[in-house]
Amino acid sequence: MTAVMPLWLQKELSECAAARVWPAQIADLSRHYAAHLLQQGLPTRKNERWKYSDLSCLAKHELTASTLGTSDLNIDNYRLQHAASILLVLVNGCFAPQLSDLHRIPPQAVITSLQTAKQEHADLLHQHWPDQKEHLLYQDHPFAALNAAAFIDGLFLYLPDHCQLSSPLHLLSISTDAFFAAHPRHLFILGKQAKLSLIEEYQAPSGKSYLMNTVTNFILKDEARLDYCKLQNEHRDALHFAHTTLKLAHDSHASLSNFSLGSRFARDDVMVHLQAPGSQCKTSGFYRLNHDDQYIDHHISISHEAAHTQSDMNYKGILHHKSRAVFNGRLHVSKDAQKTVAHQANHNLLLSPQAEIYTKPELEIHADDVKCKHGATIGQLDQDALFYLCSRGILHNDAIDMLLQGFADDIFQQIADPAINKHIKEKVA
Amino acid sequence: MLEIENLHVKIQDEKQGTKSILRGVNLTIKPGEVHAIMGPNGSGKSTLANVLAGREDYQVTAGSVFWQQHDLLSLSPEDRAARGVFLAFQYPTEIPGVNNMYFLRTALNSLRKRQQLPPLDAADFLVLVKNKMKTVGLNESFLHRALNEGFSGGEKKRNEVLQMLMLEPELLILDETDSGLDIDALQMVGQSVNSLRNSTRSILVVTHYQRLLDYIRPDAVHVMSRGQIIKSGDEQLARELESKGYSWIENEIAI
Repeated sequence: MTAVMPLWLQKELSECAAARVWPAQIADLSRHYAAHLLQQGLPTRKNERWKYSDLSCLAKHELTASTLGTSDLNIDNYRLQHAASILLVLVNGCFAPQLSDLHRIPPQAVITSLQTAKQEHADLLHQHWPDQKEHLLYQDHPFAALNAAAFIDGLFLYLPDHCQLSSPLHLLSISTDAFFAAHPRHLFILGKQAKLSLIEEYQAPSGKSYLMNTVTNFILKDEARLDYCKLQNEHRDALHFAHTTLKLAHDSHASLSNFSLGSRFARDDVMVHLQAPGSQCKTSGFYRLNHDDQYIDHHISISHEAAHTQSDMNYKGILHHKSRAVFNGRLHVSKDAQKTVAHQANHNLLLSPQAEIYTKPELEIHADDVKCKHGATIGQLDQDALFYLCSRGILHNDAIDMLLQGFADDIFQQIADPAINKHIKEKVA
Repeated sequence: MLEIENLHVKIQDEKQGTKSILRGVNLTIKPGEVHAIMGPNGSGKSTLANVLAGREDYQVTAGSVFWQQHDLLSLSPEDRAARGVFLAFQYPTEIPGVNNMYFLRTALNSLRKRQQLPPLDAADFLVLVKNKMKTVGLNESFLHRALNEGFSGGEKKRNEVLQMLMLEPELLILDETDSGLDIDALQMVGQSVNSLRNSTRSILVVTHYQRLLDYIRPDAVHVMSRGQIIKSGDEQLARELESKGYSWIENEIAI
């Protein structure tokens, strides 16, 4: 049984726009996935990975391909206030070079649109593009498959060995239109000992009822360092899909913090591959659902594929009203990944009797000398703590805010860059 | 002035259903007075302290509490605090993620706002709080920790006294603040409470032991048993209790 696919989506898949702009190696894959998805249809609730997702929201509006549009945005309002940064702007999912700080990119680094990279860095691009074998995974990820069929452009970043950007890279996605579907595709390559601090932010000052469907691939070579913070604050009628893959080589470290506040329906998939000894990944996240019928779904999957790898997963959520959230934390330790250390935690506060959270840890361990632990909780506001604060004269609502901030505090502490930390705190508060 | 009249309080217990805890408590504390309540475990002392502070788990079924002519029971905990009520808790709650200094400053400025006083800025606050921390014997590092989280029993009590000194309440209720404290800490609690003693404040000290009352000399001592005050007297009564035990009075009343 397949869910009914809305006509606009069928059309988008049959057109397979990506196949027209990308060379054969990539175009073949695009056609493959378009055909596959058309034939399979969208996942239903019988699919474990999509059990709680009501994809009928896709059929609510007829969506068309996004355009950059004319933008009279005052982009300075969105800049990090507390430090210099290199701002890269996407409007309605399309890269806007005229709004971006291209002049601040140091000469040794490559930061450009994917289309430009196709012309100017074809070798690099093809060398790092996910191959057919990896693409098979996309059968479980229909929106990544949709992206593969429809993506036209995105960002390409290449930091050569030892390259470090002196200030954070600020990737800002702004939606100003309505009823569009955007499928940006990004590829980030960090050479040996390269270092990147990245903040990706989704905002919608005027856009609404759109679909944002991003696929991002990170490749970290030996001893590379990535600090990646994402803020999803889409319009409350928007649909947000994100599929992020990280591949980590020897002694490379990645730290991810995710803050999800916006959208009507959001699905965030993160797939981490710890491919070589010494690689480490920290993933943390905070989601806060504030509206009836809001849905936020995180599927985090970490694969320990080599010995002496470490991972830490810590997500926290606060749910108001009649909202629903899903957290699925998957940990896979392969047979050879001895001495793996992996922690997983998910804690939730339900502030309304109608809010729903579905949390599920999935641990699949094939090695026998590992340390793995997990924990999940669902609770309500601590009434003793609330009374304690109020009994000192703190107003009831202020006391609640204090407790909620306290609940999520350790997630905010994960953001290492002080300027990004402040920025996120201001936006989330 | 605090006036408690015929106070009856029940609690909803999951196992035992409704349980009567206070059964007609009468107590009046005039401005400037220190009263002590002693009594065996389960007699209702802590319940009385918590009802005065406004904890919601309790059901007041009869009686009244007036504080400075206001019906205390009709007020929320934060409104009671704004009228000067302060309870030093027997078991202070640990609140992870809430910074101790931020909490104290928010509480103080929230009370100042209600009194139409300007908020204390960060620098003034810091001078004040560091000074008081010396008094209660807490290292400054405690300012940067989460509220009560991982504090030892003694550190929690010191933190309660710190809050008391910072907020300068008009009605001060100490719920077994002395239990689990060493001699030095006990002396610190005594000195801190005495430093607040003046002609307008009312102070209620709930304790098991006469020891604390050597430092805070009470104007009156009451013995509570089975939800009622069964005997009142001066500080001599506390000494008698210490030597003879509670059963002495309970037997006497039974006769």
